[in-house]
Formats: sequence, C-alpha cells, structure tokens
Amino acid sequence: MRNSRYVVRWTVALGMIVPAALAATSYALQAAWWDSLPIVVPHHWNFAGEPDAFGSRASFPIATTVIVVALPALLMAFALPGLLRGRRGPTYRLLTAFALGMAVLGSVLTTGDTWLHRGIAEGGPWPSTTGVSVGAIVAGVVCGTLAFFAQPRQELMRPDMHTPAALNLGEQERAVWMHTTAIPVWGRAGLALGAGGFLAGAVGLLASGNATAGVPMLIALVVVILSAAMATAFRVRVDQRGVTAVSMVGWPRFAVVAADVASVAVVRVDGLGEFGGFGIRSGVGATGIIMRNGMALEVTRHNGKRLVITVDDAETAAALLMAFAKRARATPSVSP
Amino acid sequence: MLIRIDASSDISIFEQVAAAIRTDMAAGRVRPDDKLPSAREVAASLGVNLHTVLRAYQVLRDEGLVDMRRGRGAVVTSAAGDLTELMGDIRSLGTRAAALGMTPDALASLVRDTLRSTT
Repeated sequence: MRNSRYVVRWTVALGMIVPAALAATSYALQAAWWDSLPIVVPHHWNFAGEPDAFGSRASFPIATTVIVVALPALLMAFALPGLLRGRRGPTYRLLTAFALGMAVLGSVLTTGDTWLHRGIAEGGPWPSTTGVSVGAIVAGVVCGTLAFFAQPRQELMRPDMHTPAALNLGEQERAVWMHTTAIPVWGRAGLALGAGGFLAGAVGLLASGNATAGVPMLIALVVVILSAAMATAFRVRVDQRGVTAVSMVGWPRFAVVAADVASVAVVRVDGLGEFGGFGIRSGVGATGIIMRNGMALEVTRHNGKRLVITVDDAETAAALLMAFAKRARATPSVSP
Repeated sequence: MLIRIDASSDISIFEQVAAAIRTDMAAGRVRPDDKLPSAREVAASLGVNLHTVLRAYQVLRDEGLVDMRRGRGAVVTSAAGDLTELMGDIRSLGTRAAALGMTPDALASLVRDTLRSTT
C-alpha cells in the first residue's frame, strides 16, 4: 500500500497549524478577560479540591505557552526531520495526534480556568475547577484520537533498509557474534552531571535538616541511577540460540530465539521519530534498544512484532542471524 | 566481533577461536582497551568446552594481544592495534597472489610453510 503524498501536509496541519490556532485563540480570550481576573490565583489544589498554593494570574498564559505551544512544537521537532527525509511509519502519526491532543487539552484547561476566575474577588471565594479539568482531558483524548484516525495511514518506510545475504554456515560450523552498544559518551556525561546535581541537592536538603524533601530526593536519585544503568548500555549477541541483548547490569534482557525469527534486516533508525526518544523504547509493534540514531539490527518475529537494536556492525549480525534462522527452520527441535 | 569455527577442520578449536579474534583485531573491529566477552559466554554460544575458549585466550595472552586482569577478564592490549598495520600488506599480497592464480588458502599455506621453516 503506497503511502499518501499528503502525509507531511496532514502532519503540519494537525500538528502545527491547529495548535497555533488554538494558542492564538487562548491568548486572545485570556487577554480579553485579563482585567476581570484577580491578581493572585490558585496554582495548586489538594485532593479535596481546595486551593493550597497561589501565584500570579500570569500562570494562565504561561501554561498556555508550555502546553499548547512548546510541547506540540517539541513533538513536531521529533517527527518532522524523519518525515521530510521520506521516512514513514505509525509512530509519526501518533506523535502528530499527541501534539494536537495536548494542544486541545492545554487550551481548554488554561482558557477554561481563566473563564472560571473572571470577576472573582482577590482572595476568593474560589470556583471549583474540577469540571474544566475533566473537560480538558476528555476533549484532549477525543480530539487526539480523531486526529490519529483522520490522518492517512503510514506504512513503515525506511529508505535505508536492506536485507543482507545469510552467512554461508557449513553444517559443521559454529559461530557467535558479539558487540556492545551504549549511549554516546556525551550522553553518559550528561547523566552523570545530572545525577551529581541531584545528589548535591539531596545532600544539601538533608544537611539542613529537611528530611521530608531530602529522603525522597535521595530515593529518586537511586531509582534514576539504577534505571540509567539498566537502559544505557547493552551486550548484544547472535548465536545458535538466536539474538540476545542484555543490559550491562544483567537485567533487562531482550531476546528472539532463532526459530521465532521471521525476517532480519539492517535499518537506519530515527530515534525521535520512530520511537519518541532513546533508551529502551516501545514503538508501534516494535520494541527498541535505541542507543543512538543510525544503523540498527531489526528482527521481526512470526507474530509480526519487531525488536530493533542500534549496534555497530549490524550487517554481520544480521547475516549470521539469518543463517541460524535458516538452520532452525531446517531442523525443527523436538521438545523433551 | 565474529568467531566462526569449523568442527570438521584439522585445526584445533582453540586455535580457530584465537585466529578469529586475531582477525577481528587486525580488521580493527576489536580495539585496544576493549574487554573480550567472558570465556563462559563464548563457550556457551559456540557450544564448546569452557577450557577450550580459555586456552584460546591464553594463546592471545602469550602473543601479547590481551592482558588477563583479575576481575576484569581479558582486555585487549595496544599491540592488537598494531596488527591493523598488517592489513595493508596482507591485501596487497593477496592481490598479487590472485594475479598469479593462487587461492587465498594456497597463499596461506605458502606463508605458513615459508615462515615456519625460517623461524
């Protein structure tokens, strides 16, 4: 099925033009109601629905800028480079729908809350914002869903995808291919810097006697460090059993057994556009170990699900895996 | 890194494993300061005895291509990097031999026999 010629146009229309229009409308309405707003408005509500933190009324246009302008723009920055280079796939469609859904949610939320606070005196009494919050979420989900299905379907299209020839393994031959893959050095440096800052913050809080904030921060730091260790460096292996990718700390582990390999390919991955980012990712119908952009090993199982691993020398890995898959097909194993 | 062994070959398995790693070093796929995978993993993947792989690693250590470090395993030395300099010579030799109608295997035998008799 050929992809529609209008994919980019739909993306720009739904992911950029509509959010821009929603932002413009929100700013205009908020400006019109500005003078009737109290200078100080609630910023946070507790579980009983009562305001427990306050701030400037400027929070409405600021929130509009973050949720209706910046966030959709970020998602479009993820999706457009790949799309403009001719890539297609269901994740791009999802990114666009998400951008529009967020824009709708944000504009209904901020403008609705502004509308609620018109004519309220300084200090209250404060209107209930629950209705607007619920309405914003519902509107966002509905519009985002509509935006997804309104767009033309995108069949996965990667210009640099190819299938190498299977390695010619003799009957008496055995082989193993091993390689490591990890996020680039600057990524690790950035994470270390962030962790260091977090640690300094936690230590500072604890030293000043603030355990209620310091302890959770320390716990959060440990969780972040563990997650980073599990998701930023992997050992990849292709052998008689199939393909396996294990995190450097031993877990998690991703594998496809040779008998379950339906097809193998070498592809060029667009991390942001196809998987929405880097690390251990979930795309539409695919699990990715995406350490960087560039050449990756893609294994498709018989159930259609794909495992994508960015790794150097993916060509050799693919050729070997194809040879083992062929072997596994030729000699079905008998379960004990 | 790719290790291929032929169980039906006359060359012993551990020599084949060492040769495969040496080739990867010469091709620059395995670089100085890289850590070789654990012998246990390689043995399990190839379906051979652990000590066979350990012997292959010891061969490479005796050649000065890896360092066996406690706790770290086999680490590739800088000497392995020097192997890449041989690749140019090997390729030009191969081209000349091919021009004479020699197969790579025939050339390898000739090199082996010649150098064995001179050392």
